[in-house]
Amino acid sequence: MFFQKIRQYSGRGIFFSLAAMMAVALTATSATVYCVNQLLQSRAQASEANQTLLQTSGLLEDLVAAENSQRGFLLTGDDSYLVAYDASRQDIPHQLSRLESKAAKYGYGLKLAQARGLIDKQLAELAATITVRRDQGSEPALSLVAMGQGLGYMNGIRSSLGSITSQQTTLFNHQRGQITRYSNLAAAVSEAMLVVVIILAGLVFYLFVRAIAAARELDRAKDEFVSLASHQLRTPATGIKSVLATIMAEDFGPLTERQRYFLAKAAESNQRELSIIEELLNVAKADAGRLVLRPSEVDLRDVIDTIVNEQHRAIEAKKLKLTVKQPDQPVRLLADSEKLYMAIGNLVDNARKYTPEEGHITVSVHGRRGMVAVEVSDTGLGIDEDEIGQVFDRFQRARSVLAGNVEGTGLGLYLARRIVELHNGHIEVNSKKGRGTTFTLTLPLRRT
Amino acid sequence: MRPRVMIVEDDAVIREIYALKFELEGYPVLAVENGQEALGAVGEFRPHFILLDMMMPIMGGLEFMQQYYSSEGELAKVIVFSNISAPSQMEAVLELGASAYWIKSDYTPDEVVSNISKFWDESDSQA
Repeated sequence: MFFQKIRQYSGRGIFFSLAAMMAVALTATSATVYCVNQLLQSRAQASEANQTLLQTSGLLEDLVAAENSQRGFLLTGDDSYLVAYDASRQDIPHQLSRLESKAAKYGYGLKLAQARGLIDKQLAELAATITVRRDQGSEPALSLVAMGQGLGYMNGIRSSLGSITSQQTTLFNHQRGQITRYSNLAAAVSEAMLVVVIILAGLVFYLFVRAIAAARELDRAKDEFVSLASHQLRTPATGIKSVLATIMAEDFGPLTERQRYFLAKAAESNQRELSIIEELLNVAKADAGRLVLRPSEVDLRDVIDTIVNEQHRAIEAKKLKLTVKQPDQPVRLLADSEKLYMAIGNLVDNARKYTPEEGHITVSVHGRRGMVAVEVSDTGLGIDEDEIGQVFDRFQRARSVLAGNVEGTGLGLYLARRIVELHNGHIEVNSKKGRGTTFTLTLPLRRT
Repeated sequence: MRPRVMIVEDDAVIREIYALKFELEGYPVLAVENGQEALGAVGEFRPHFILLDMMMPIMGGLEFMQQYYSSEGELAKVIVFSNISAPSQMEAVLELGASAYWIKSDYTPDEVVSNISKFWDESDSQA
């Protein structure tokens, strides 16, 4: 209902804007998610490259430490120098196997195999010199070092590991560049999304405000139409009423009995026409939700007296008995007396129309706990059980009534219900086919 | 003395029958078709009462009232006599200074004449 009304007044623009907002948000979110994934991937790769770099430099450090430790032992024969040598020898295989585990992935397997070969040879040479030192003393050991190829092995190892280091440094720098790129991209996407969403939100707000203005304009136009229609319908009927009244006042000369009789009939029809116009306009207003009350303090008994005074002649003319039971004390309500007059008057009018001659109509008023109930009962036609649920609907007229050719628009009870509800009251009906009908209208009393 | 009554009404039937009724009852009466004609005639006719329709061609009742009330000199009692029953309009004209707002279809010429006569008697007794 709400969306229908907004669509009716704003066209489709508001929905397109909302859809565009969602599309932008969705695209931007996808782009951001992509950027974040790339960031995480680059960070993992950069971190792996960093670890490889640390492992290669650790390997070199171990080799240098082993060599230094071997030299100390060769010169002094002190076993404590070999603590570092032993530690390095234990650590080197671990470092190598860690590097090997990633060799295939980064394509440095060949270089690492070269390094491993040289490392094995270097370690074997170190071990041999240490054995010689132990068995034969420092001289033979040192001359073995001088003859050995340790320097060559170390240069070879440095060269192989250096190419792995250089490759991994390049990889690390590339990933760092990727991290910067995707961070910037994510920030740009977020900013662009914010700008687009702000623009679209502004557009939606503008369309919404315009839709509200259009709805108000339509309400105003409806009021104007009802007002104009009321004027145009009433004016000719008013002209007839004025002319008839003037003739009947014998301002144009005396009337015969027959002229007076038919003029009275014409005046009655004219009055009925004006009432129907009034009823239709009130229904139009009620439907548009523009039936407004003009409440003041009202003594309900006065409203009922007016109705009885106006209708008693018609009731008597139909040979109906009318009983009115009213309290002696004032019954004070905060109400629109004209509208109440219309609602209750309608119930009495219906009772008269739908009760055969010699029947009985009772109008009674009694208070009950802050409320007052007006009961209008008759001994008339009654309403069929299957029709009773619809009596307060618009244009609803009982079959028996239609068959009996009783006049009416089928709007009176609908209006009565709307009027009573506007007064925070309610209306109900009890009826037995062929026995009669009772309408009970309950209204809140004015608090003193 | 009977008060002078000006009828401002575009519907010929209503205008003529009311003018006739006031004449028959002995009131000096002037009937015109719209607000502009009324503005042109008030100076000379000097009405005590103006029975004013609202919706009229050329110049409607609301515009007439705005111009009439801004003019100098003694002003008549304006009784709005309209078939428009919009509460907003009733409030607007009463605020502008109208003495009453009668819904045309609720009255007969007899009732209007007798109401004006009562109005006149009341203002007479006050004066």
